Amino acid sequence: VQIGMGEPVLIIAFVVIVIGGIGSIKGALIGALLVGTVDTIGRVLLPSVFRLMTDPATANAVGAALASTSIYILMAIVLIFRPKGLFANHG
Amino acid sequence: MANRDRDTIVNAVIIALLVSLPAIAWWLGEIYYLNLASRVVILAIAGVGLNLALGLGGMVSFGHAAFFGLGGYALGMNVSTALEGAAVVTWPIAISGSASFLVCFLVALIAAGCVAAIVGVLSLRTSGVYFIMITLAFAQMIYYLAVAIPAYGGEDGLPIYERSRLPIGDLSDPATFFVLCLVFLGLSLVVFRQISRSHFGAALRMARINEKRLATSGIEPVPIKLTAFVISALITATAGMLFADLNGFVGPSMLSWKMSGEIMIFVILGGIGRLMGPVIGATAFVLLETFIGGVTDRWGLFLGLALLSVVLFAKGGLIGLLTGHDRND
Repeated sequence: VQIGMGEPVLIIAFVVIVIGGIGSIKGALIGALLVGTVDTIGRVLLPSVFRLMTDPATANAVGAALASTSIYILMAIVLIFRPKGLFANHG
Repeated sequence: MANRDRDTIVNAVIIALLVSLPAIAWWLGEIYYLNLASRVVILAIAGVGLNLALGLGGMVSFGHAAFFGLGGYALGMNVSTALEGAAVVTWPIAISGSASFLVCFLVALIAAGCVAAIVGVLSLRTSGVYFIMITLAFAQMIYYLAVAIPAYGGEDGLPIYERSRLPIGDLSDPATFFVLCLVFLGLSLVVFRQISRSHFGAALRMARINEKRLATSGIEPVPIKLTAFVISALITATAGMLFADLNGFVGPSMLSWKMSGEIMIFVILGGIGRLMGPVIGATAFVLLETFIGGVTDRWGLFLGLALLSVVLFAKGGLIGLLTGHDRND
């Protein structure tokens, strides 16, 4: 237990809800799965992609940092095409 | 009319204090307080920038740290490469870095303006909470980009060993630097005031209050909001550039979402949409940080309490308390 425990979850939870559409439970589920998948795949694949271009040390550093942006890029793309999230609540 | 008189008096007192207190500190040889005042003024500029988008246009941007940091990096990259005699850009053509303040200023404006235009065009498709989140998303992308580039410090940030240079005056002198910051704060306040009194400002206000009504009167809301967003980003980038110059350091912390939150706190604490709101907000923030932060590490608790009580009980922010009324529009 430590004070900053909530911090990493806070922003990611927001990203999930916004991708899914605020107020939509189905959206939150799909959003969570999408974010989890994209984040994990990004972390695994991006460093190896960069390893093809530069030396391993910088590839790992750059890849890891860019992998962190993957969920934000996902969110931006979703919001650009579906400004109210994937499952907008028409209530 | 009485309201307006009281506003003028409060604003005049704030400006007088902002000029005279640091002048006294300088006269007493208290350089520390002079630098503290520069910090207040710089953060106030950032707040004035966000106030244009948030207060007048109703665009709750949670990504203004991106512009703040871009301004900082524009100066940091330029000055540090200039001191090494290296090129700041090697592709497609090699451009060597410049330690000139004016060059850095221009680069900061161009960089922040271009990024703000792209972010704005994409983000303004959404509104409300979605707008907050998409601006945050773009800011986070730039944050991780800065962390990923080791050439400019990466995670550790980039030290800037000398202040930038002006044709007149020596910026390494704290008093000169403070005056420069004050001039920029004055300029940004003039820009804010002129915009809020112009037809453009009226349209911007209507875009916040009722977008459909603005559209019905024959004005497209999106271009109006986009213009305001870009101007707001330019002002914030100027603040970021001065901030990097003051600290002699630029790092990813200037780009992080906590910075966006801080800039937003200046505006909300001081008074949303009010001319001098961010100035008071930034002053209160830095005073809390410095003096309560000197007593206890938990100064954030007091900041939180202050913010809560302002939001709950003083509708017009601190400036609303002083002038005795909420914003007029």
